[in-house]
Amino acid sequence: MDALSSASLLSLLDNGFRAIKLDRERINDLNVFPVPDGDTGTNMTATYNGGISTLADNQDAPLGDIIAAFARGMLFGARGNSGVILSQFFSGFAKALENKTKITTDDFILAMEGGRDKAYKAVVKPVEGTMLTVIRQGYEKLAAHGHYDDYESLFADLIPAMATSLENTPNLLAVLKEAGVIDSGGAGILAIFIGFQKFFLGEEIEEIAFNGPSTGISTSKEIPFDENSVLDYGYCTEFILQLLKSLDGPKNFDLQKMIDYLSTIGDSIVAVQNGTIVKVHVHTKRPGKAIAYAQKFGEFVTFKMENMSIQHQEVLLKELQQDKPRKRFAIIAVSPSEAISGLFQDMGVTYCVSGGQTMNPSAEDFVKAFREVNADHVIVFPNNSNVILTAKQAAELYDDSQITVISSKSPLEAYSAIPMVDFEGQDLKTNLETIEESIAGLTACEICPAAHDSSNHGIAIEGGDYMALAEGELIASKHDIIDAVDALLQGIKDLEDKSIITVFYGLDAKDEDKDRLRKLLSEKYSDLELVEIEAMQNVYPMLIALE
Amino acid sequence: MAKVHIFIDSTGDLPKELREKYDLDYLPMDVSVDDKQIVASLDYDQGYSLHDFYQIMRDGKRIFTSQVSNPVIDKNFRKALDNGEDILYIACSSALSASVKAAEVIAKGLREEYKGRKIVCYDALISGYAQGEMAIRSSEMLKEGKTLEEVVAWLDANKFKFNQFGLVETLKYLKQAGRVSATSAFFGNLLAVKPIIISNRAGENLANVKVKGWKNAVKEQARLTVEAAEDIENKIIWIGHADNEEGAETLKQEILKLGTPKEIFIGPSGPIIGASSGPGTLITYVYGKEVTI
Repeated sequence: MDALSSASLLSLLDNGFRAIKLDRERINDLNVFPVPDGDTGTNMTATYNGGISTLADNQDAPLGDIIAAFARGMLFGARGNSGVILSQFFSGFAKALENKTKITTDDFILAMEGGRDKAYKAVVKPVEGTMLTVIRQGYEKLAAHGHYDDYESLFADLIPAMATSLENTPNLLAVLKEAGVIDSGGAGILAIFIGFQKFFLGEEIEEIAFNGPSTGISTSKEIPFDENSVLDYGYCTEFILQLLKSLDGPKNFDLQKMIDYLSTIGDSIVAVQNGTIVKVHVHTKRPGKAIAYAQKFGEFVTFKMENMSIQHQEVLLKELQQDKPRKRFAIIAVSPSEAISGLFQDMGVTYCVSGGQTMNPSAEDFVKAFREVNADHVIVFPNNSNVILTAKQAAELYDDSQITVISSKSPLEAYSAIPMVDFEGQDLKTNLETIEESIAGLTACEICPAAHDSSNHGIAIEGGDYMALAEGELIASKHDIIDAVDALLQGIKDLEDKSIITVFYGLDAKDEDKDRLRKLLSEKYSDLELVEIEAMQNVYPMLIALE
Repeated sequence: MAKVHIFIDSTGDLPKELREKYDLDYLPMDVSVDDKQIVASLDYDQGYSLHDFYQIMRDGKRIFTSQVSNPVIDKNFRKALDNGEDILYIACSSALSASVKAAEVIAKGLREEYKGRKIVCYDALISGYAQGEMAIRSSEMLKEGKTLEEVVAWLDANKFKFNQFGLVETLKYLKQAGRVSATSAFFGNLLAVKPIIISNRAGENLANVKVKGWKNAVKEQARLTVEAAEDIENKIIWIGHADNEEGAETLKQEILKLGTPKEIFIGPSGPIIGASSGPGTLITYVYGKEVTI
């Protein structure tokens, strides 16, 4: 094949999606730290899915529009650093194909060049030994060759070049070598391109479902139904009942009697009977009574129940949101748990985007948050190094606010800085300085169990050990969690300048360990004031802020 | 010239020995716990000790405060007037207590009754030991032979030079009591962040500084106090505490690192200030730079 038409482009892109979906678990496992984190395979698949979701609406569009929409979908769908770089690659790739009606092999090489340039620009300091290198060396192989007569021969050069590049990533990036892995983002882009190649070779790729993240999972301050809510509207209850002989149902059931009964506990009743099948719809605050009545005669074939207060609240909320006044300032923070979201909101965070370590939010999640807060100036606190780039990409995609993305790599930075801001009394610049100052005084630490044996910075990590990290660097790895905290504190160079230690207890923090931690601090580090927060984050039993 | 009888009230915080030394009287307010009303004694001698009083709050019970009651004002003013004395009542800031307004209404009637007699109900626009020091300085001026009018003129000219820097463990109590104004930046859950509360020119408690950690906050409180003192060698720095003698001592040491005042006085805050600000509170007061906020 020497050129791609719209139809073949659609198939090609779909093949890439099938390939990354199939390979994502293997890519997820390529981790530097033996810590479950923002999985590269899942992130790249979810990002790619953002592009795929645009294809259905653009089937009949001109080729240039198809690839442009695909790239834009990926920009919004981008999750994690690898997702952002991937989306930027396709953005540059698509830009080079504007107004094309077919893609020749020469066009393809130009598009690769555009993609490479855009991907490198996506990161402030491009690091070699990553997806960027794999993209670059793949392109360079093609550029060095020049014209290809067909895609088959182009890909016969491209794929081995990218694979060799990927194999070499540990030689360029020491952390990969020490952990004994190849770069996960590089593995992801290679998987996609192998999927492309199989299109030309006519090899079928198995289609599997992708149940990963797709749409936004943001939670806002307004929970439609909480502990203070009143059930105003009851439950919309619908079921299909099979009357059973064992219960004498067909003999004893009387539709009119059932309707009479239901009208005593609810309204909007629709009930029909067809032989021994009864279909019922009722709005009631006491669905248990309807169920109990029906079950005297048979069993349910299907059953559906919805809290109508929530449906109604959602309508009300939407109306309210439309009238929301424009704010001058808003803070958006990414939060890994409900408890931390609650804490952040108490501290004055306007909106929390859920996610972080194991579930990286998409650019679109941020764009939704920007729209939601509706403010002149928005300050965003990511909570993971794999979220910062996504937030920045989202800021690029949104024009209605001035957005500042703080380079915060854990929830601790937001915890440290937000209580110090004063939007009523100070301007944006002063507040940003306050934030910077507060973060500069913070040492953000993590205690985390290792999933398997590994090594980092010359420190041997045994599976099940507790790793202690300060500002992302491994300080110690110990069998006992409190020993890990002790080693961590001993490893902090400017500990004498710190006066407060705040511990976010995770879901896996044991009460016994909390007691032992208090004992350790009061006996050995009595100069530190202890603040304890039941933050219920996953992955990390303890997140520790030293200020 | 009639002798002047000086009153403060339960927010004036001066202990018995100082009130006796400077010949100061006080109009007691009330506190109530579990619907039981008790006199807000500056000497913590009305059935509860200093520690007991704050333990009630630590145990989670709310203590309500009330202004000086009309009968108390009326009875005390009449007694002084009947003794042939004029009256200077240096009252708790009108932004924090309605006592001064109530006293002025009563004074109006009494001026009719006791023709030619002087009753001044003076709004200190601050409370605590600053209010107390105003009374001490007034007493000294009167002893030097100054007239009541001259004393009031001095107070008018200098009242904004009385500084307050309060450090609370939590803003909860001040908010509960409605005794603090602050921007939203001070509301919500501040955890390790401690607010420092000044008394502004409207006589309100205003949270306007945030510091990370109690120890850092104590240092900042000391720094602000010394900075406000100006010629510190001639100044008394008052430290009022709500059952936190140890904290007050630490604060004193921090102050001494920065300057040498004529005196640092440590004493308990009265039950009204204490109930409104919560156990553990440390408040410094110093006469010095004029408050501009």
